[in-house]
Amino acid sequence: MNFKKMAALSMAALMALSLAACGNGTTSTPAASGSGETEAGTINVGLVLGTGGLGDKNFNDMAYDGITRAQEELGITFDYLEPETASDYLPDLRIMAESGEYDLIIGLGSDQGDAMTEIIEDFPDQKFSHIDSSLDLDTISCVKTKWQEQTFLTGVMAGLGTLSDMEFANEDNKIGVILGQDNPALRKGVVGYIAGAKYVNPDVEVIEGNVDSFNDPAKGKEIALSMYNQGVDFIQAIAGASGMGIYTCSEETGRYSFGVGANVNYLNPDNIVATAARKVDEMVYNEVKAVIDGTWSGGVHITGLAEGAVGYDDAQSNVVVPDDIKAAIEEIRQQIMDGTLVPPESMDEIDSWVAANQYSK
Amino acid sequence: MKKKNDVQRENRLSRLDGAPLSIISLLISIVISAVILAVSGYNPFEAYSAIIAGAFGSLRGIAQTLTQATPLIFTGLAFTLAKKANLINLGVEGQLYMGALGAAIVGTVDLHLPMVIHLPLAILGGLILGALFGALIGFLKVKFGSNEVVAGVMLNTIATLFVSYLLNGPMLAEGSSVAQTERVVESARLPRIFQSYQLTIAIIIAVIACILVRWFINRTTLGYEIRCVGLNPKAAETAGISIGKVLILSMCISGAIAGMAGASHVLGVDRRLIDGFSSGYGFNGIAVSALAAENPVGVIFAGLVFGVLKAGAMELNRSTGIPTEFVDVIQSMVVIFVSAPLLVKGMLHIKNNYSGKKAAKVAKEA
Repeated sequence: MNFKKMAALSMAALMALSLAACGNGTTSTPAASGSGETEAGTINVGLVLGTGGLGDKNFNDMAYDGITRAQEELGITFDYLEPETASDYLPDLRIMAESGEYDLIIGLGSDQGDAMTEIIEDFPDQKFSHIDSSLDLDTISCVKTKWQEQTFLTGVMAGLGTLSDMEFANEDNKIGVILGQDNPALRKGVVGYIAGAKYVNPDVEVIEGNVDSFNDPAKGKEIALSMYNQGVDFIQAIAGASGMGIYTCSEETGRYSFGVGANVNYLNPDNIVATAARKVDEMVYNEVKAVIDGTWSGGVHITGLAEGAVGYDDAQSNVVVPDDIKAAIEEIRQQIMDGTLVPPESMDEIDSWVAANQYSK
Repeated sequence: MKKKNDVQRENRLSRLDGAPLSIISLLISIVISAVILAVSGYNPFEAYSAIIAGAFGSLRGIAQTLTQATPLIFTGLAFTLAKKANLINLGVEGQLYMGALGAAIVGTVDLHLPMVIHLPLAILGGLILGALFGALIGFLKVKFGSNEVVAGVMLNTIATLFVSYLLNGPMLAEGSSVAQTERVVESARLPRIFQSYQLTIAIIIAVIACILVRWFINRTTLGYEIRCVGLNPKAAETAGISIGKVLILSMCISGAIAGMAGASHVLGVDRRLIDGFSSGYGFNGIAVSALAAENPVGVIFAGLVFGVLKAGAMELNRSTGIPTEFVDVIQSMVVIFVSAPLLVKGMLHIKNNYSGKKAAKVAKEA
């Protein structure tokens, strides 16, 4: 009897302690700043993340980086919510909107589209920004990105790289691109990649593949392998988690690949040259800054290289890129940012666009 | 005199069961969670007031509490009913997904029917698929002697992945970048109680279901048979009850109730079937059932308690720096204490037994 009691007590104490120990770990992570403590001149922002939550090393973490940068540089305050499932989007947006404490509420990801559409009807005066939106609304800021600019510079890299004497480059003038799904948005990414390659290397042959799934690394790997066997030395993945198979394959066969979205270079740093990055952090930061500057407005905002919303990210990659290629990428980036070079948007335009635009050193 | 009191108290404690045990467990969980919070460097009062404010502080909060409680009441009830036949239905999550699928198949097609026909049809679709999926577990158990726990867990994976496959392929909404179906047509949506909130009349259906199940278990022949099989299968068989039939039917009804959880979510909350929509409603149902002391009407209150925690978590997340996972800590505590009654009794015994022993010693010396 006595033993049982002691066991019960010590178990309870142990549980309390071990849980407390776990809890301690989380105190070190930056918590959301106190709500409603808006200082004069600054604003209070509410952020509703996607379902993956913080720690996804992807969109959610990038968005959090963006808003903490805004906190440091612009002195804003913010609160954030981590929805557990897609069903939480609407109540999460509503809890933010109903509190009336926020100058701007940011929703992340196209899957919040339904909830956004519904919530804005009840709160017409509240500023909402929908990041990576697929909506076309005038009353809220729908931030979209130019896919063709996201992949243009990796295309340039591939086009020049396949001709170069880089370690894993071969004789064939062939490069590849693999899609997760052949939808209009991703199609623009393919167009950007092809146009980028042909801008610097008009004779390059671009081979296309389609996994038909964003979550099938095995099939992605198979398609990548067959491409590499055909003499392809650079492959751009636009296939979500199926891309993991493509990156692994590039390492196993000793070839190059490009990531997409959040920086994935660290996964296979010797073979992933760069990531065609979609910088959610910049998009979030820009929306916050626009409110402070008074330039925020409703409507569709298509952002690209000039706004820093997309980019060519080679951080954490060990691949040695020749200096002349690096210089070319930098120069072409500048041309696009200046507006002197406008990448095409559809497959039909590519040939005439390439005929009219050629890179010369 | 003192000794007699102690003995009475001892007797009371050893009989501690049902609702009082649940309430004491809940209170202990809240206190221990507060200690954990304080040790972690947060203010427990701030945390609990945020949860209370989030769950009750506004119409939105109350609506959110009831919305969150709805699927939990259904899944808790599903688990409770199977438990009456001494079946551990760990397949609730899978049955919930199949129910959601059934509702989505009927609900997303525009049949040009009035709501009074289309909505019940869509709900029926969910009930049938959930029931069949539940009955499958019972069938496997009765015909092939498979363990219902193992079969349930395996079928959960099959159901979630099957639904995920459909949502990524054949049932994917046109042009959608997210794995989800088209919207449920207007005539198949569960009516909302307040226009602005996700709360639907499903909460009323849930409460009625609990009362019906109580009546069914206590007042009908089949309910009586289910209880008999649950208490002593051999005796039930001797008495002429077909055990196989009772087991399959219990799983069938349990599956239908779980399917209703999925259907109410698809037709009411999301108004479409979205991949991964369940935040573990099936498994939380086990906790709800445990807190309800396996009493069908208790499920209503247990579901509400968990609903409060879930709804409060949102406000906690927004207005304080306390991680939402803290709510999971409270929930887990409740589960631990409810499922380990000896632990609670042990903790309540300590003082009692100490004085009891001293009294015994005195008596011996005398």
